[in-house]
Parts: sequence; structure tokens; C-alpha cells
Amino acid sequence: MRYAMAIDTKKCVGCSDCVVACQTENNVPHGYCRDWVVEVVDGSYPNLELEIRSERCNHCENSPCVRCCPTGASHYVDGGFVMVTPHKCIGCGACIESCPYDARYSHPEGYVDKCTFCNHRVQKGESTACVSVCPTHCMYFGDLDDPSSEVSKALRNRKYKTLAPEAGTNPQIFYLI
Amino acid sequence: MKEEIFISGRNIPYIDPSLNIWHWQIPVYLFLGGLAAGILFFAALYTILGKEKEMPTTVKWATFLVPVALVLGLVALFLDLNHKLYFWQLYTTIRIESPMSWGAWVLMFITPLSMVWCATYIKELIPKWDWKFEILNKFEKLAIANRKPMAWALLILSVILGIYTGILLSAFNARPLWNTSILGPLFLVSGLSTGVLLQLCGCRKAILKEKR
Ligand code: SF4
Ligand code: SF4
Repeated sequence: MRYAMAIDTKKCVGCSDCVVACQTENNVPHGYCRDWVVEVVDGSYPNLELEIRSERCNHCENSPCVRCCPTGASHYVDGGFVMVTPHKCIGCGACIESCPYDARYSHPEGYVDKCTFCNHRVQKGESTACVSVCPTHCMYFGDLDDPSSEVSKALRNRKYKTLAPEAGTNPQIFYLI
Repeated sequence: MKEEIFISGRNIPYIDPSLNIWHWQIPVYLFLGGLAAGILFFAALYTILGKEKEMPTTVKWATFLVPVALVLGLVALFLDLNHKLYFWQLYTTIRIESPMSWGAWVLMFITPLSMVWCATYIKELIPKWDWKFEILNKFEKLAIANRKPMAWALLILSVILGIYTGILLSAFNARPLWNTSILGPLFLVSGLSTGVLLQLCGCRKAILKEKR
């Protein structure tokens, strides 16, 4: 099993519902977030291109955060989730420094926190909070090894990219372009 | 030109805190750790080469700064942890992949070892020194008899201490300018040269005399 997410940059309208859903679902402390939305404008007037992206931890297959962690607090669990165990984390910040996507933040209680791909929901057979609230249905979550999953289908039919491929992290979030 | 803005950032003031997760404590430690590694490396090297007599500053006196530097460095590192009470989790595991893990273990051994090293020379520095307890006298004798093996251990540990910080930073895929294999050797060399410089400062008088 290899969980992944595909996000349609052509359908996303930047409403930030995914951000609020995550904050609510995961009790993210006020002022912080595990996912966020960026708007990228490319080109020079009048030939401008606009891309809206909902971003979060990429659950990288080759993640520098797990590699750098001195205590094993950052680790992989079955299905390719990258997780942090709060009572093992010493808050050294090595993982925050090493993540090319700035996906982690220091929780006010001291440990490091980030997107879990809603592991607790996925184990119950549900989808992630962000995916389930998206009003434009622009995000797909599922198992890459299962050809009939929504992600596999989305990736089969569309062109896609990952963020910062040059960092060699092998991200598991794919942006449909 | 590419312009990137956070649309969802307005009510999330801490949306991009990552660049300031490390503070002044880290550079302070990097300097002190490198300095300690440099001093210990040459002290150990010249002990192994049997030059204690000719080079007392390098082998003996300069090393008294090492425990001070290491303890201050460790305090700085501790201050920079965000989840301080859990720091002992470092010592529940050894992670070969994580340079910070080697660093934690090396510091655990090299700090007390450098103190023992100084203890074997303290009577030469302060002739009136008294250990008060008989057991400490015995321990001192044992340590003095084992200076050579201690020097070998210090030599190896000091190289790891000097290089691991560079490898640690170079393992960060997020920072392209750090993400290079030259950083480890660079940190080691800069630590060694700082150590040598300090030892040279200690021998200034002798050097001046020689020149005349
Ligand atoms: S996006 Fe960052 S935090 Fe998430 S797995 Fe990759 S390196 Fe780690
Ligand atoms: S801050 Fe926590 S999770 Fe991150 S590297 Fe340090 S111990 Fe590991």
C-alpha cells in the first residue's frame, strides 16, 4: 500500500476550506496550520498564468525529515505515511530545517507537528478531512498500488507534477496540471 | 517572474516559521564544538606521537578549555530544544542515518573523557591540588597509566565531533547551498584550525623566544 494524493490545480479555487477542515479535525493550535493554499502567478503581463495549490506534507518516500531525526520520533508507518510521535520528539528542529516544503511547524507544546494524511481517519476507511470537504472535489486520495483507486485514475488520465523534484525526496502528492 | 503568495495565510500568523527554528544557540555550539574537537585532536595526536614533553601547551594546558567549551556548548544546544524535558529520548536509540544522533552519542562520551584527560594533568597545573577522596586518587593513577588508549579514543571521537555538524547540515535537502558533501570536511578543517590557533596563542612566548 502506498497512499498518495492528487490535487487538481485547474479546479482549485483557493477557498481554503481544506485548511479550516484540517485545523478542526486535528485540533491544530490557533495561528498554525498543517495545510495551506498558495497562489502562484507566472509570466509577464499580459501573458500571465495563475496556479492555485493546496499544499501540505508530501509524505515523501525518501524524506530528509525522517533521516535527520535523532530519536526516531519522525518515522514511516505502513502505507507510506510520515508520522511524528510527540513523546519521542525533543524539538531539535532538524526535521523542520531539512524539509524542502516547509511542511512542519513547532507545536506550542514543544514537539513538531505536521500533516498526518489523517492517518486516524484512513484507518477507519475514511478519506482525509481536507479531501472530504473540498467543495470543488479537486483532491483525490487513495492507494497508488490499487489501479482502481481515485488517485490512480486521476494520475492515469492527466499530466501531473510534484513540487521541488530536484530535492530528490520523491513526494507522494501530485499536482494535476 | 514567479510570484507566490499564501492565500490562506491571513489568519495563520505562524504559517512560515521554519526559517527561524534555530537560533543563536546553534552557531555558538558549532563554534565551541569545533574548537573542542580541534584542541582534542592535536592533544591526542601529539600524545600518540610521544611529544608530551616538547608540546605541553598543546597536549596539556589547552585541553583545560575543552570541558568548559563542551559544557557551554551543550547548555546552548539544550536551550535551543523546544521539547526540553524529552531530551533523554536521544539516548534511547542510535540512528546511523541521523548525524545528530551520532553527535549526541559522541558528546556523551567525549565530554567526560575530556574531563578525565584534564584531571590527569591537574596536579601539574596546580601542584597543591588534592582530590580529597582516596578513590579519586586511585582513579587518577589508573587514568594516567592509560593516557595512550585515552588519546586514541579522543583522536577518533574528536574527528567525529568535528565532522558530524557539517554532515548534519549537508543532509538538509531543503538548503541547496548546504546540501554538499564538502561541508563535513570543511567543518572539520575549520574546527582543527581554530584549535591549532588557540594552542599557538598559548605558546606565544615560546615562539617569540625561538625567533630571537
Ligand atoms: S514534505 Fe517535508 S515533512 Fe513531509 S515527508 Fe517530505 S520532508 Fe518530511
Ligand atoms: S524536532 Fe522532533 S521530530 Fe524533528 S528531528 Fe528533532 S526529534 Fe525528530
